Amino acid sequence: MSADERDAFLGVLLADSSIWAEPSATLEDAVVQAVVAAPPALHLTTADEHPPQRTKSRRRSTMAVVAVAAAVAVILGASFALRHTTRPDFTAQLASTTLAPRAHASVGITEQRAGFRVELRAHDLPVLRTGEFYEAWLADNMHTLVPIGTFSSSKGTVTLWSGVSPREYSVVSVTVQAAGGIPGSSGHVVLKGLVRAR
Amino acid sequence: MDAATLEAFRRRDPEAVRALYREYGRLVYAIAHRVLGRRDLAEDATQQTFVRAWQAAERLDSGRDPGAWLATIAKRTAIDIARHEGRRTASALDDVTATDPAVVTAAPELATLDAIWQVRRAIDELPEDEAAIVRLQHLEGMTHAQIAERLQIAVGTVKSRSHRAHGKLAHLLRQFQEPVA
Repeated sequence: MSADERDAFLGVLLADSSIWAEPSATLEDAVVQAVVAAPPALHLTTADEHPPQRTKSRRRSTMAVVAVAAAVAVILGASFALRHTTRPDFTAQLASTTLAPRAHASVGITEQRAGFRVELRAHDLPVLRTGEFYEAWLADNMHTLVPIGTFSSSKGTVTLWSGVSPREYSVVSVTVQAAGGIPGSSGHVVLKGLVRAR
Repeated sequence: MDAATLEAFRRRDPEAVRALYREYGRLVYAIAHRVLGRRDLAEDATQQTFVRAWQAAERLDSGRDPGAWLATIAKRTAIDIARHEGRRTASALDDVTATDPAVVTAAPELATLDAIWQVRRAIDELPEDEAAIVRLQHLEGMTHAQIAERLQIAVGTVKSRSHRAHGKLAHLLRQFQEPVA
């Protein structure tokens, strides 16, 4: 590696936020407590080591499917009522993912002069950990992402705004993001669905 | 880190654990943060790294600096967590349409993680006032004049501290003159 290459490499590293990242002040105590309480044998927390938990997971998944099916019925009823009141130009039903198996949501999008007003009514999203937030996205069929807003409530209605049309950007998703984390989508999708014009 | 402290760490002496964390905790965290990109996961990885280090403490040579050994555990632990998170994400996306925009970030190369560890360690060797200038210059992309204004010091002081800091970094990181492998 030449001197110029070394300087360029160091410049890139010094501009990396991880170089400068500081852990929280509470981590020291957490580490000490974890080591003092740790079992003596190496213990890896992979799913393969816990078959009973996988069984529980399957049971929970089955229950979640039943719950989601019931929830979809409720949402369909609710959206029927909504159609006769607010009349959004576009709608979407957002389905759960395995990251949030109980979550579901409905979306109504109304075209206005300032852009597209997005009303997202979410239910049973998981409670966020400190420093996390939800972010909603629209995407087109080229996977181009456009963020349409952030929120932190695990239930209720939030109003978001999109500057791009759901005619072209017809996929709605909601991800869990970490403050100070990587820019763009974290990939931790908790809700997803397709927009349909009314 | 002296041999007595490392021996005490093997005995799970809380004060020795604390001493090891204070010496290497931020280095471990920097690697974990680079791999995982999330503060909460990075802290989990840091905690797991020290637990795994203690669980493997019989392999620790108390006569040598444990830095490289801890760095190896930190990299493996963070990559394990990244893979686990990746599996969670992948399974979550199994039933997602082709147009869904989820993105999974690949883990950085091991050589980069080694460099992160070494650079972070070199920065920790700098006096605080010099480290602050390097940080503003590289992380925030500020000019000497902007740094002077931010820190309320003369531009000449910024230049001299920056020059001194970069000289120390060049010396501490002289191993980058050789290919990083």
